[in-house]
Amino acid sequence: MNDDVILDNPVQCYLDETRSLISYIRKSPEEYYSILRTLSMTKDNSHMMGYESVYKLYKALEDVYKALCDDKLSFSKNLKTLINLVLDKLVFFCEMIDSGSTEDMENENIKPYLLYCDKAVAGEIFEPKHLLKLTKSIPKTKKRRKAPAKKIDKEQKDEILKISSLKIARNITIHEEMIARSYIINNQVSMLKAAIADNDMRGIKEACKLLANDTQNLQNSLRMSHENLVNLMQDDTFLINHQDHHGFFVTANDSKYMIPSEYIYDVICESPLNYEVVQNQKVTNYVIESETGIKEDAEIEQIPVYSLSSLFPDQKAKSLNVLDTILIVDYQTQRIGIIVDSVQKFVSVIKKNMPPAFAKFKAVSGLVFDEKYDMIPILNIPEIMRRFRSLRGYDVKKFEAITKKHINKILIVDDSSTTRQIEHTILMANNFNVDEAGDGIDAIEKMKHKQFDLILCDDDMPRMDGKIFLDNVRRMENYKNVPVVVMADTPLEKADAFVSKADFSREKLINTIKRMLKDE
Amino acid sequence: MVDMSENTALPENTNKAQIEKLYNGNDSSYLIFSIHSKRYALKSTMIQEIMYDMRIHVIPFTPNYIEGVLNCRGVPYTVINVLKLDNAEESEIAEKVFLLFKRDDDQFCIHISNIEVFFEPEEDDIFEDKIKYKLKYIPLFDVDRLEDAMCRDLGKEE
Repeated sequence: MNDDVILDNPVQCYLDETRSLISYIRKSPEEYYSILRTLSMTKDNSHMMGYESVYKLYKALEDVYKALCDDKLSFSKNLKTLINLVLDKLVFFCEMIDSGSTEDMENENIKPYLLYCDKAVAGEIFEPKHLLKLTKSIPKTKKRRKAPAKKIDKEQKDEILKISSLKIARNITIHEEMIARSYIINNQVSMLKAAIADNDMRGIKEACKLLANDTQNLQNSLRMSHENLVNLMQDDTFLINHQDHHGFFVTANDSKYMIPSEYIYDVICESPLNYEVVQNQKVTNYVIESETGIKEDAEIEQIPVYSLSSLFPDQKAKSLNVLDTILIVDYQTQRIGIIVDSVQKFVSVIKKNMPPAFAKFKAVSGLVFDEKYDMIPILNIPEIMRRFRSLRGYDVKKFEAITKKHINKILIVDDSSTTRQIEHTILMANNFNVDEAGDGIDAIEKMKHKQFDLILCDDDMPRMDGKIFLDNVRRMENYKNVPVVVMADTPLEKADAFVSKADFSREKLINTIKRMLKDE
Repeated sequence: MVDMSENTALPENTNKAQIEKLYNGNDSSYLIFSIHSKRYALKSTMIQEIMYDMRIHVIPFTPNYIEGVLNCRGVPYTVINVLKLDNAEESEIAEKVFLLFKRDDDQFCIHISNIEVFFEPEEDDIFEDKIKYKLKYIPLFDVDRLEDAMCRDLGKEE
């Protein structure tokens, strides 16, 4: 009992001393000389107490401070981070000593810390970020002991996955190179021995020079390989960073984006003329086929559609597509259609993280490379959907006004339903909005309710022929200047253009109409 | 227990000078660069790389001073137009010169007009916020404010 009390006191005393030193170094890390003096004492005490891991860490820190005192090392930001990381580890050890888990201390991996301190002392470039990752990924001893068996299994599986990685393959190459180099060194040692035996000073010098050179190279390779292995073992994000990401490269507003396939339900094409407006929202009628495959059983779902370009501030006006490409995306219970200018291709690519400043930026989740080595942003669809929802009706109208080209409305006036159908098909295919009338009276009735941009009429019609129809049109205030194209056997006096039925061609008709509408 | 107070016996001046030297490293050269007609100075050790004629890949929904990202051997660097950040009237930069900063916490660069000169000023010509070059004072470029601005603006909820 008494022995316990005696033993407890030095432990507490040692802990007070080491904690005091840690807080002092944190507070004034540049007080090299005073830190060095205390470091040496605490280091020796750690050895005496049997805390070998703590001793090694203090020894490494002592070397760093010795180098700082001797002006062999500069106190940089990286070095400060490294020192703080070593101190964090020491604090962790103090907690272990405090809780009586000293047995577990020796199982803790402190080699990376020692290696990084060595690197610092040697004046090598080092990146404490890797060590930072390491400190985050090291599970605390207590937690590890309490972890359920399943979790351990998962960790073991991860190790296997990591071993199959390319990084390991690269290390194997380095190791093969090192083995080859060790054989060369062996040969050089034999040469040196022979030179010493012959008392050949020139040979000794030569062999020493070669030996020094190759040993240095071997050391460099070893360090590199060790660092790679440490990074690999500790870099939990390695596999995540190398996962394939699938999706579509799409264009909108002359820029390319990637939409991840995990959100894409379907890709469809739809004529802009087929959209409906429900509660001020443009919707498309999406046909969901039934399980039976019978057309009549198919369900129609009205899905709101938004143009991706409408989200960007500098929308560019463009000619209207005959068919829009729509990506039907869904997230949670919401489904919307995103209209894009084009879908380029389906890709399977490796994602690159955005620079750290974008950590809280939600609209873009990363970058991928295309075949031109351009960086393509990956759109974060939940955020894009949120942005679409927050678009006000006014914004949508404004966007449509900017980007939507005016669709010319043409009225076909002909008593032959076949002729009307042919003309209708030709005009529709050329992006015109087409209405039909069977004769002049029917046409005038329609013209009262709708403003057409051009009239295409026949001459010989029942009830009201072309000539009388044209007289009536010119008397209508809103149709005085609307071009009338006559497609008949003979031209009409008041018509603006004439297309002969005798030598009719699609091109001639379309060119005449475009010329009249100044749409060439 | 160790008494720390007795260990701080170094002469104050010596210590400061030593720390200053250690902090600044061995490379005491500065880079002078220009954005339009305005010149700035930056310690060479803060520069990762200078890149020319790089294509900027636009990132949507970012503030206008973030021109996009450039591809530095597979690593994206945010491109910042300082003139746009400061709401300057003439903010477009015709030249494609990019100054990449050496930082542990982020990857970003600024769009500049020209690299003027690398030079090593005399100790007396270095001030807290400027350096003296050919009888003119050149302000030191504040890199940290860019990082602050980006973190502030990119973290915003709309």
